[in-house]
Amino acid sequence: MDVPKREPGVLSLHQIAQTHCVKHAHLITDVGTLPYHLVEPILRRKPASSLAQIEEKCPHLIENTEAIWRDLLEKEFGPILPSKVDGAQTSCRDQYMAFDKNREQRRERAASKLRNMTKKLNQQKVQNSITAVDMIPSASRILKKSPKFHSSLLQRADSINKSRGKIFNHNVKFVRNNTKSVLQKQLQPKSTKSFKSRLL
Amino acid sequence: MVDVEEPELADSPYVTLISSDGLQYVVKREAALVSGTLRGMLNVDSSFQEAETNRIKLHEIDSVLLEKVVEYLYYNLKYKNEVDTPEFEIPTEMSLELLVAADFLDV
Repeated sequence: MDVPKREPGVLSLHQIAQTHCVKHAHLITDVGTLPYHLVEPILRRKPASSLAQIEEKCPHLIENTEAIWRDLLEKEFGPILPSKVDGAQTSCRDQYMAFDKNREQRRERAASKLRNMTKKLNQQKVQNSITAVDMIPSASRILKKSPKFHSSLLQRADSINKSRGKIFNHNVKFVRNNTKSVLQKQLQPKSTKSFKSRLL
Repeated sequence: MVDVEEPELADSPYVTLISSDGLQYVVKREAALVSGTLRGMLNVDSSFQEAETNRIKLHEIDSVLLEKVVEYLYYNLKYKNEVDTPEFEIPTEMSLELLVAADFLDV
């Protein structure tokens, strides 16, 4: 495939300067008294907020920027029918500002709703969090809070555990009254009698 | 008004460009003619004073800007028939003013 030949020659200074300005359009915040036909390619690269700022500083551009506002309106909000206020057709600039304001209000409402929901969820989380207590609650209270089982087998096992608990609690009291501590037993001298004599 | 005893002034191969702050740049006539505006000013048939004196005062362009413009005029003269040309660099802070100057000088 033949490579297309480049034509001899250089770009005009106008083209070079304009390309450079468009490339660095984000750095331009004021165009002074430059005529619209020179700065149009630069303004087309600017977002709506920057364009509005430049128009504020350079009001002579306002009468020519309708086409740029129309393109911005279609790009961000889709094809819009021209509207009229008091019989006079509103400019694309004013329409854009109105739509943008509306969009910001909707965003703010959505953000506020989300913040409230998050706040409520955090409050619920704090209420359900695990906290440390100083003493273990008594058995009667534990028994009252025992979970309800849907299976009959589990219910039977639960009732058996409860009855065992009652039995073992009584035995512990009896054992405590009649037995010596392990330490006391160790300190006592060992008996020299044989095992059989002890049994007798 | 040019003195008729100095006819070579009108045929001088050089012209003088004067910036708004008084600096003078003596450039080749051939380079100056790259600019459409300067070409019109230097046209002998136009009966402009600049055509007679070969001195052009540019009230709107300061010396720094004019120097860059002159640099471009020579760049254009050198590479106008070349295919592989180097890029003409311009400082970012000067690009807007150069755009205005280029529009005025039709270059």
